[in-house]
Amino acid sequence: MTDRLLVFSNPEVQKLLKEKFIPVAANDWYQRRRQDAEGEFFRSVANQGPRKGQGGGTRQGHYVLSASGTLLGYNNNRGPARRLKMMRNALSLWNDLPAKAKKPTIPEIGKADPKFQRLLPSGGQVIKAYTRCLEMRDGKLMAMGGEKVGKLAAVDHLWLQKGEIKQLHQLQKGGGGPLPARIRARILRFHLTDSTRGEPPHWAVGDMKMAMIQMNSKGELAGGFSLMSDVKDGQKRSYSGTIFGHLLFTAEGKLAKFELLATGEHEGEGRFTKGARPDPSPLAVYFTLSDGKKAADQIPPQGMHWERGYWQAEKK
Amino acid sequence: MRWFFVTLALGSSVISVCAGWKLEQTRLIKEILPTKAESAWAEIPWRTNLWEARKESAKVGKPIYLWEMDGHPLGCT
Repeated sequence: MTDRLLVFSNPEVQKLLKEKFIPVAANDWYQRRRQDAEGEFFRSVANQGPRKGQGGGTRQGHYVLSASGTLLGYNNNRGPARRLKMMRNALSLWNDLPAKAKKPTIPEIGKADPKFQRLLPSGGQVIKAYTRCLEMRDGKLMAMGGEKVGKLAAVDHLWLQKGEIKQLHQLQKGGGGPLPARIRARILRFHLTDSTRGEPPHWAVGDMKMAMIQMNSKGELAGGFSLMSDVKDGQKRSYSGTIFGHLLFTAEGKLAKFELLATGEHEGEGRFTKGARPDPSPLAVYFTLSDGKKAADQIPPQGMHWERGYWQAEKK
Repeated sequence: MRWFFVTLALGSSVISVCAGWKLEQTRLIKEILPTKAESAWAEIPWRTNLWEARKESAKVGKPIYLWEMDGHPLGCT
């Protein structure tokens, strides 16, 4: 999150990346594990730097490399000055490479490791989920001001399968009722989380103390939720509030609109989301349909690390 | 619980009268969405496939810049 604001919003970094590099973003959770040509290539590059992933550990960071697999620079610092220095040093090393190393022949990738490949199923649709910590100012809920930790909006994606969208459409046509348990649990367990300071822990099935989302015959949604984890590491997490929205369908039964707004009070933090506000504080998640055409919109939901759990969210 | 009743009151009028958002909810959604400054990083034409980036790099003669995070840098990280 900090990289986005401090480094990649810097005009000099942006100019250099657009003009001199092929910029790529990847999820290390998959990359360091996948047993296929891409995983082997990535690890062979990372092994030339300081993060060798001993014991399966992280290899996250910023790499400059050649297509032939030579590491030209590495940095995991979040200041633009040091990043720019690394990029310029790497460009200098790049310029010294022999022509053959700059333009190698790249073979076709071959079969991807299915254990670490996540693709939206055919007919599925993507919904963007934006999360923001809020605070009450002048009697209104507003984005957190100042330079507080976690003030930036976080983004994730909710994936729905073709059959699930059909279920939603049939629910509306049938006059409405409770949202299918699987979809409701997916939304609550994997998306009503505080992801504003990093990868959040998800809710367990038993953490859903109250989970109610009703749809009416117009496709309007309303409900409430209460999520509460067991005490872990001396701390509990909770998030309770309300959820409203509306869905529209095309004549073919695809989603034409998916609008959902969850607001409530969140408390607690996870292993990778330290720095939460000390008391229950306002947190909101807004869901809106995406056409899924941009590369960034095709990123799998964070909850898809655990693929079966994400698709079968209602099950323990 | 206090929160639940406050926002339930806010939303219940929406569910009964219209299919869109109320003004206050529209304002809240704008508060939640990333600002222009927060979205500036997305102006960089990030690719998401390292293998395809290798091919492109070899074709155009530019090095690859790889942003590798636990959690996807363009998503939840």
